[in-house]
Amino acid sequence: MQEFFLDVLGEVCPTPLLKTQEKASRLKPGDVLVVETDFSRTVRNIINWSGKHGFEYDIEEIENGIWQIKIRINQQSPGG
Amino acid sequence: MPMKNKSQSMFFVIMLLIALLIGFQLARTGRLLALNWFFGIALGVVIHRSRFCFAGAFRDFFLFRDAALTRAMILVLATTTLGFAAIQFHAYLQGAPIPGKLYPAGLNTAAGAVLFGVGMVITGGCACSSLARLGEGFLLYTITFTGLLIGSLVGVFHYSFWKPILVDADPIFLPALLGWPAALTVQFALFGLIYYLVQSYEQQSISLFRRGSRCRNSFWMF
Repeated sequence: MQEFFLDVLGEVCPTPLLKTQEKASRLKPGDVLVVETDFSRTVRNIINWSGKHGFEYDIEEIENGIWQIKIRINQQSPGG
Repeated sequence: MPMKNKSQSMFFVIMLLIALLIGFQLARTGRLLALNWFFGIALGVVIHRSRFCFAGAFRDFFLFRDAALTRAMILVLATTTLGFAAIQFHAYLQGAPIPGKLYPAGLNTAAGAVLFGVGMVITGGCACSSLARLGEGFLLYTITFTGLLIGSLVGVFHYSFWKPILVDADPIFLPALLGWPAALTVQFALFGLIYYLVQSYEQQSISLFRRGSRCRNSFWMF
């Protein structure tokens, strides 16, 4: 189990989720991916995507307008 | 990691007071102006809190099979249909001209929509969500918004060139064509059908994965 970090500060939709998907597809079950974004819509996108895949997630607003989303990859990601 | 979250409630109170002051000032010149002002602010709050985005309604659906915004947009259109129908029917009963922006649709509409769609995806948002994100403090949208203004200006300047070529037809107004009950039925049936199709397309992808993820505090923070 490892923790990975993805910095998508300054990126607007749909780039952050595309990068998250790409990164998640290379992780193993049990790994944790932390995505840092300053785009509010991205947080919703990632929540919806995690929910769909059954990944556990947690959101923290670490600074005004900057969010960290911690996603636990709990199964092999089929991508998409 | 140290928390650098500053409380912004002070700014909120100051901005609220300024907004109220401007509102009352506007109310002295015209009640409708003040109503527009407060309604605009309320709409902005809703777009901000809901993270609504017209571009996302299509982009997320086709790219990620995420139909949350698509469903929201269909609901918005259905609600506005009801509201506009009420206003227009009222005018119709009184024999007044039908209010609303009735323009002829054609291939030019589709071509313009494709152009605008490409622009929306590249810049990251539609007109209303660009404004909302700019208000949230995302500075990239100053560029988007400048582009939007320049584009609209250029459009206004050569609109008279295109008008006789492309938009010189009578607009189609469904109630005039089918009658009010049939027009509304057709409109809502179409909304229902699109909603159902979108929903089932999204469900298909969900059933591929395990459902029911858990999370802490995301609801209140977002």
